[in-house]
Amino acid sequence: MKSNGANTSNTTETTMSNKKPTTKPLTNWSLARRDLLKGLGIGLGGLPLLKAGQARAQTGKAAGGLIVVLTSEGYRQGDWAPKTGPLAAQTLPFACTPLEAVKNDLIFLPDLGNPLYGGPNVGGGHGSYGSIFWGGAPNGRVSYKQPQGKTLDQQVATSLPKLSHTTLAQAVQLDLTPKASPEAGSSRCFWAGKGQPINPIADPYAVYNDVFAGIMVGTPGTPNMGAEDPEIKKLMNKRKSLLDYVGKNLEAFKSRLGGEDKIAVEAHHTSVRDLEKQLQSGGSAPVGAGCAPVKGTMLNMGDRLQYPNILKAQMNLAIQGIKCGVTRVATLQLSDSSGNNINFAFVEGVPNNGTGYKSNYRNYHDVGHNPVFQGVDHKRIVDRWMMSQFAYMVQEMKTAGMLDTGMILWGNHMQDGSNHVAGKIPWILAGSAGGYFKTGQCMPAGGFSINNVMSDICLAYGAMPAFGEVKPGLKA
Amino acid sequence: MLRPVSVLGLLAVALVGLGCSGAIGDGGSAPGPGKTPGTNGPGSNGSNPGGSNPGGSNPGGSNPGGSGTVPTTMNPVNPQGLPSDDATVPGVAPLRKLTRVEYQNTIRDLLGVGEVPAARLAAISADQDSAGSGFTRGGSVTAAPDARALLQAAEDVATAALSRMGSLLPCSPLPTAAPAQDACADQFFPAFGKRAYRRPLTDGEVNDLKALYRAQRTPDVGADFPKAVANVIAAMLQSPYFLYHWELGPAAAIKEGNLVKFNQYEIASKLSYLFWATMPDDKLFEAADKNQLGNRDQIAEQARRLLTDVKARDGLEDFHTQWLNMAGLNERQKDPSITEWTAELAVAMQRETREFVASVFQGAKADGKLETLLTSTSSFADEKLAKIYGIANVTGPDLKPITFKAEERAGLFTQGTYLATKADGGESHPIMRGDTLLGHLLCIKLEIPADLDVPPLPDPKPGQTTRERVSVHSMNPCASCHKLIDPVGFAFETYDAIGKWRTTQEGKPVDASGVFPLGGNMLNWKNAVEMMPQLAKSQEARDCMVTQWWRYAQRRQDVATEDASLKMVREAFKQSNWDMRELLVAFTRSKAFSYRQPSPGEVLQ
Repeated sequence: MKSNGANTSNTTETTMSNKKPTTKPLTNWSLARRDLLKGLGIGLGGLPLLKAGQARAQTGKAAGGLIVVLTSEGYRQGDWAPKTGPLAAQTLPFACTPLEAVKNDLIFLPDLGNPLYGGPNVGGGHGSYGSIFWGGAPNGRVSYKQPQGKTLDQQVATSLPKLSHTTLAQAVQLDLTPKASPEAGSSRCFWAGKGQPINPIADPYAVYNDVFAGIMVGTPGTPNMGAEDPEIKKLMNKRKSLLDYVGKNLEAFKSRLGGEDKIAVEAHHTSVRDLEKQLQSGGSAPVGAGCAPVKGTMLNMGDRLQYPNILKAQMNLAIQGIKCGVTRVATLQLSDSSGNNINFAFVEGVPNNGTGYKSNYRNYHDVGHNPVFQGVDHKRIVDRWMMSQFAYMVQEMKTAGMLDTGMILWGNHMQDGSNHVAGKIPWILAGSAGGYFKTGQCMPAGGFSINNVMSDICLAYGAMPAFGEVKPGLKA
Repeated sequence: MLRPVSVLGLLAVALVGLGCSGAIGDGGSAPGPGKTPGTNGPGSNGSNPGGSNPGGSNPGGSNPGGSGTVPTTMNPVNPQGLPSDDATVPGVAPLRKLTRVEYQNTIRDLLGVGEVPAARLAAISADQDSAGSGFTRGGSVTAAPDARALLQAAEDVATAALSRMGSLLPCSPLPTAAPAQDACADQFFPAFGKRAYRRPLTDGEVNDLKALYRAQRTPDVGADFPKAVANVIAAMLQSPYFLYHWELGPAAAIKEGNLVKFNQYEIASKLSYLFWATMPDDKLFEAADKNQLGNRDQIAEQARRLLTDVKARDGLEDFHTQWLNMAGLNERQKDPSITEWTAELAVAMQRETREFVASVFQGAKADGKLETLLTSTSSFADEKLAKIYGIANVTGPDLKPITFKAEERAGLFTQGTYLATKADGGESHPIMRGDTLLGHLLCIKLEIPADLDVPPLPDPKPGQTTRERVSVHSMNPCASCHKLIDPVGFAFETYDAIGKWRTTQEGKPVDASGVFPLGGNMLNWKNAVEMMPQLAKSQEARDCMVTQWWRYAQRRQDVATEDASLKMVREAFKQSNWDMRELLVAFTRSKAFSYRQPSPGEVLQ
């Protein structure tokens, strides 16, 4: 089955593999949320969390959510970058045609400087992945760079009143082989601090459980627990006692440590405490109009051709997570630093087999290095498909009334996969973040760096602009 | 030591050659009770391909993992003939979590419940590079989902342990009366806690466990006796004292001047995780209890014991898999036109790697030599893998000893796992093969010029060989690196994307020849079979092997202040005629093994 952008079906139960039988277990994430919530005895109990999120006094203008997305391999610039100036006055290039209907909600930033890379034409595009939302001092030229502090998502999220989830970290088939490298900087781009990569959840079923069920319900497919089931109470009590013990151990353990070790174990301790809160509250019980997590279907996490379905499920959950007051910040990684493991055969016009680069199928890295294959530029087609996914997310946010109050940063970490230039970064912003940003424009080359943009986003959310100077032009 | 080099700099490196010592015969290693070659599949991440075979039972104390000695002859180097390393000031030991492999193996040996289900293990945050060593430590725990994954894995393991309560608990049959059950649990926790945390528990820690157990028995939780114990086990498996390598526990550090000396239990774990990638066994605990791990001779004696135990296969496999970044082969896809490629074949290759490296170190005929690792024509294969190697008369799914055609293969780098992981879906990858060899066997790390744009390779053309296509990199701006990478990478062009031998590609003869400056000489070869013996005899490879094992053991880069220890280990390696087992034993004798610098801000008490 081919997918051609935003019309991708999310209901298929077909395992669309023309390869070997996959060994990954099927996960049924069609979880009956209402039953679970009833079973957990949760109704209005989650309200305070939601209210806290809504009632926060903003120093910035953005009262809504922030979604930060990272994809790879840049874009075929000639087919992707609009002309500088107002977007309303132009027709978007081939790859961006799916965005035509929402272009007035966008800011194109096709040529952002990346101070880490010293100059506009500096290569090393893969190595830029891990630190792309940090942009600070380098930690070496050869290896995959890692930030030395919080990335943008964390900088914004930790400045806001804490909800049940500091951020909702998601990914699509991120750790399928062949990966770019075992180094964390090749597959982790969101960091709680130096040496603390955020590990995203790749399975929408697990995200759903984490966010909306609040408590683990055992093996997928087992009957949901009944209302007011005393066994659930016992389970929660058991887990609380276990986590109390673990927390006490962590408290004693970290007291011996210093420096980065202490910070790392403190993060571990915070993770346990957060989990305990989530379990005790039954998660962030979704309440309020429009808070309706989408039920999923059978998805095989190891089937590369399920990529569009997993992506759509993750986008929906990110939006719902914000809408339901679970978090204010969601992150979504669409590939590691190379995309060796993505088979774009699900995109109309892209063949299954590629040049053989990194893997036999037409993977992201392959279309990046070898965009034209068998006489067809597959990269521009892939770029357009990616933009169609972005368009879907923008439209969903807009329909939910979340685009005016919040925003999306659709990021990349290199200019074009065929040159791997890491000194010219193409990003797109969607949404005005409460009227902070002036949308509907394409910014000129060379005017901004990724740091300028990230600091501006921080200000929009009332966070410290920790990434550097803020330049005029983006702000309304 | 890994070092950036320039092209000209490399020309100055000296070559020191010694004689070739030949092959290892039939491998010689006798499978022990823990792992049976040919009968088990690999875990995810390429870990533990032999599977595990926990057995035995011994309440609270014994090690239920498979173990046993493999008769092995070693020729110990006389430590009196080695230089002193008293001047060494070791580096700071990085705090690290159990890796996934270590977690799996430790669960197996602690509880005898086999492997953690793959899906649960995959949810635990992925291993990370440890302090720039090139080897891994456990993944970070930075958000609630990480803690959730650990909780779920621990609950799964504890549930599985329910079936072994009769063996784990020190009371048989299991008591039915609550007072007797409580007494049994009270007896269990100190012994089990010592094994789980790899050091004796304080009274306060034991009391915490007893209190947690009793909380499970209250109506609020409502667990029966076995489940209450299992719940406590689940809690312990999430404790930092289980998850982190911190066998010091709440005890005060042993200060000697500005350094910290590892205590007996820390030494026991350092040994077991280095050689076995798992927790200490009863003998190591006993030695620690009796203060018999306090000097170099005692430590070295244990090192030799561990090296000859069947469990060393786990550690050896882990090192070699990480060293050459060969994990995950069983998840690789290849071009559908390569019809021989199946998950089963990939698993057979991983099993071959495990058996082959074990055979170099263990068994009556094992000599432990670096040269054997890099040049041997002996290995193991099942029927499918033997066909890839063009070897007849191997039938069935079990691995059998095989002998390669001497003109086709020589050692680990010419075997399936290395060749298939360093390949694209449909074709060989000489750059990957060459770059890995340079960096990991010769410790030549290339610096990519900061201002370099990486030009794409041209589209493949009909009739064009891989070498012809890749040779575009021999021109600027890529030449500075590729004139080093390409010769050693092209040497493997006689192997295709899955490691099959070939003499032609696209109807043309394969050209695997090369010249390479090393040790002041210009090496030359017609293919990898000619190249590997030359590299095996190079001082660069010998020194690099010391460096790589050092970094694996320490999970950090070596520092200049511990050069005396490195020098001592290199000398032992040399005196043993390049026996890697003596390298390892010498390392455990070093000051750098037994001491560390305190971490900044650490509370030593």
